[in-house]
Amino acid sequence: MTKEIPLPKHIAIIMDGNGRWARSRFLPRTVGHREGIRTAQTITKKCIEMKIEYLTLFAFSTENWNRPKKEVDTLWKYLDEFLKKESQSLIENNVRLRMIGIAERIPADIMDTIDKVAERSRENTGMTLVIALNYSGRSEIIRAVNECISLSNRRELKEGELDEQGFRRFLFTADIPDPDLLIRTGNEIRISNFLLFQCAYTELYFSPRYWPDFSDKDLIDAIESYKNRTRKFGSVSE
Amino acid sequence: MLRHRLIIAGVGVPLLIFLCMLNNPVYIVVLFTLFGMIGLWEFYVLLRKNKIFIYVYILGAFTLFLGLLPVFTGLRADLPLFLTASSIGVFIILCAGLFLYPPTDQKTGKPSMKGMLDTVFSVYVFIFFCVLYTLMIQLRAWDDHGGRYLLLVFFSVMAGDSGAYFAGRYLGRHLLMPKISPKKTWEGVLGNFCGNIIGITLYYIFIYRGFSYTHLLMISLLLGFIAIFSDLFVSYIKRSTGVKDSGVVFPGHGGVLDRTDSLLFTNLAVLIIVHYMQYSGIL
Repeated sequence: MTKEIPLPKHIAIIMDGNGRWARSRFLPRTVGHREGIRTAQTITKKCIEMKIEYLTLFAFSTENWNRPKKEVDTLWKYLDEFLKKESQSLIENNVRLRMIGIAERIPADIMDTIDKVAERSRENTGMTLVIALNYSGRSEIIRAVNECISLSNRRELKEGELDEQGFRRFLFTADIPDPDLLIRTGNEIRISNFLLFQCAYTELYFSPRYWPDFSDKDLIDAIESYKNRTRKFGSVSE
Repeated sequence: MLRHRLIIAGVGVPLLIFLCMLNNPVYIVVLFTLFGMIGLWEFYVLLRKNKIFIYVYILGAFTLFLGLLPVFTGLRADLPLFLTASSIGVFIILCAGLFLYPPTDQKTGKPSMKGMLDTVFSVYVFIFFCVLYTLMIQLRAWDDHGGRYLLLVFFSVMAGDSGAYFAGRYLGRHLLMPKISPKKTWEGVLGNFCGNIIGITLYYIFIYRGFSYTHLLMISLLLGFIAIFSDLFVSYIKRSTGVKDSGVVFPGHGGVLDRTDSLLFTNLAVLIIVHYMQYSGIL
């Protein structure tokens, strides 16, 4: 028998399969996104209930801009609705909201909503809900490297001085611990440019379900699977 | 007859509600597929009496596959796959006649409709029964509320049936379509709608409030219409084939066909309603 490890502190989720969920019911992809937002609400609630400390949701990647404009617009609309609808209950549930990703291309009104909710929930001490918007793991690292270069140009950072912890300061997730468990739904087995630096030792869980079908029970299954794994971080167990 | 109805209602309804409310759809998938196979067999026996032999093995294989389809798709609905499999089924049935019957009579050499007739009826039974029936399983696998959508079908049909039965029995005077069904009356039609409304109210109170009550009322009227037409449609088949009781497995109880006939179109209607309500964001 392997010894059970405690609940994951930080769960990250790639919410994939909305479009395919809709297609398998002859519905337009946008309906899948709306259902997906609902799932995001229930899973967030479940995580709060289970006292997970950090939950990161991959809502929009930098590559998602390549989708048809109508779909992208609707996706932002639903995200905006989600934030507006949920903000009050998030704050009441003592949740801290954080955004990671490149702020530049995100529609201004959504950025505004996020900033407001993030500001209002800054002092909360419960779960931290991290939403990845316009996020890309590679650009995150490249941005961090560029910052290092400019620091070094200003002689604030010397060659050989930078270590892993030092580098983390430049990432979007500076004050967020690495995810313990990464869940990807929708029957795809890839990382897709999500938290590349942070996922070095993350346990991966792939669910065949499309995201709108992902339920509380599936989340618990994922956590159970995580609990039964031996995390060695490159050393030997025992 | 009344006692039978009450016994069926007393045992069947709670069992059905229990099965539909189970979180895992697999029980319904397996059980309904099994009943579908029985229903298909009843159709076969019914038509055999009229010297029409539908391709029961091909139809059975496709009913089995279409019914168990959710098992292969992660217990979720997959309409594109369902449609593909159904179309392939129709194609294979159409082609089967080529190999089973020669187009001319072997002795006289004259043209023979024998193969055509079997093929036409096979396609008919396949679309009307096998495909529409297994579509109930797709509705169950639609999403987390699939069982509740399915219960909407059952509540509406069963309450409508009971309403029609009692109103027709105690108040029935004016015949609806005596040539097709000698017992159906206009009073029964009204009773059907009243029963429908009662059923839908019970559904709203005890089962599921995902639909608003106003929507449910409109849906129940629509389902009432559809149920009446599908009832008449099945009576029409029975009249023209000269069979009264289609039950083979449970003689006297009317069999699977009698229990499911008015469900088939109603289920299709609910599936389309759920689809469009999700499409427009109401549900």
